[in-house]
Amino acid sequence: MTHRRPEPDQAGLEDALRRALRAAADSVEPAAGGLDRIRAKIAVRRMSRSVGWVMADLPSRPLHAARHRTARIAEWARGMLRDLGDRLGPLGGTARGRLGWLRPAAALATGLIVVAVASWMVTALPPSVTTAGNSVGVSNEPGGPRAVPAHSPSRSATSRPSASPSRPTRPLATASCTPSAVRHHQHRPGPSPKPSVSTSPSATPTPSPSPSPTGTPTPSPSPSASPSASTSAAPATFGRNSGPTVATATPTTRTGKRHSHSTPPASPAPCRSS
Amino acid sequence: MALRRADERSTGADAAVTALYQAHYRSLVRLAVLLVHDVATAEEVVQDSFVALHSGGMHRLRDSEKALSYLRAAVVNRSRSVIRHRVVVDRNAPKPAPDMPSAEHGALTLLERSAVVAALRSLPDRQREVVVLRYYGDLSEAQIAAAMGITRGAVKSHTSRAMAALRSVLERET
Repeated sequence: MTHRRPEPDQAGLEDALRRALRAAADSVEPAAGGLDRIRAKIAVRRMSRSVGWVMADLPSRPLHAARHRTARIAEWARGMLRDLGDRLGPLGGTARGRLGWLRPAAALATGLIVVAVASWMVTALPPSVTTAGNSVGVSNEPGGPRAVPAHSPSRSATSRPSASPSRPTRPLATASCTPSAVRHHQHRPGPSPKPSVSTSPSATPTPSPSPSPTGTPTPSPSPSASPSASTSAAPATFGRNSGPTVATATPTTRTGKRHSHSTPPASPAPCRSS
Repeated sequence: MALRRADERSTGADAAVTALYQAHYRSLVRLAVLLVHDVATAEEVVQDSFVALHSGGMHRLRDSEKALSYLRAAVVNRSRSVIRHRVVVDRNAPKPAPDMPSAEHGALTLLERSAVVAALRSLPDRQREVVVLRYYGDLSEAQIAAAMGITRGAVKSHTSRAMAALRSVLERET
């Protein structure tokens, strides 16, 4: 107790205060059963705490396990990287200077390999492209012009839309797949009443939905516009009935070119419908 | 094994709480009555302090002196909280009719018999706590400082201001 020595007046006041407080407090008697109430509160608190622990812990257990596992993996990876850095550490000094030529040498070797592969690909490209074109033509046979082999002379001479100077360039597939070519021959004022609709590869695979002027609804037969090839092989190859149209392949293409100005571009839908 | 340990720990804590209750419960309730002016509230405050002591762990319960100082501080803090809450409630509650005694009236009648205690009620909370702890609990400045969570200088300051206020009130009454 570190009380300062009180003054007489102060001491009297303190004594009076002490006595009054004791008299007032000692008259208070706490109710019985305080301990039971304390025990009940403790039990309730313990129960609520255990329930709260269970409720709070159950959902977080898998998350905690996953977090722990991830932390372990990260620790392992960090250790591995550290070990790797320690092992490669000596290269940073003199060894790196000694082996410094490896990097440009590797770059040079990589460049040589790239050049060699590119040159080999360039030399090997044309046959592969031809093969690819053939295979594509077979597979896309209903589309028309791609059915023509790449080396077919008729393709280069007749069926290219860009071959005509006055006609705007159109894609091959659009020109071929549309029945416009068929319509060319239908409206053709030329004297050829032949039912051969088109030798142009564009119209060949599609059986023409509209009848030809002659009334014979022969579908365009040959994907190959070359007269020589059209005689026998083309229908067998592409599975289309070409029939009598093969002989007039070349003239019709010319006329088709000529009439292409007047015919509007058609939608590819009829091609599909056939 | 763990369950048995937990049971033993719980049994030990219960026994310690029982011993503390038998030794200090009454004095703590009386101390709380001087702070909150209400016996029921004082009992509630002391019981909650015992519960907090029980859940605080055995390290407090093993040393009875530490446990008692913890209980005293808990009682003071909870009494302060009760008074603060009561102020808010009184501010917002509708005032009772003049002829109708309040709920605390019966409990306070006994305390208000003494003019000193009435003057004590007019003190601010901190000053009242210092006075009660010092002149009823016979605590030292260090113990008061520990119980109230303030410095010893603050205890001295509150004590001197409280005594000056009490003196002026009592002189005015006499």
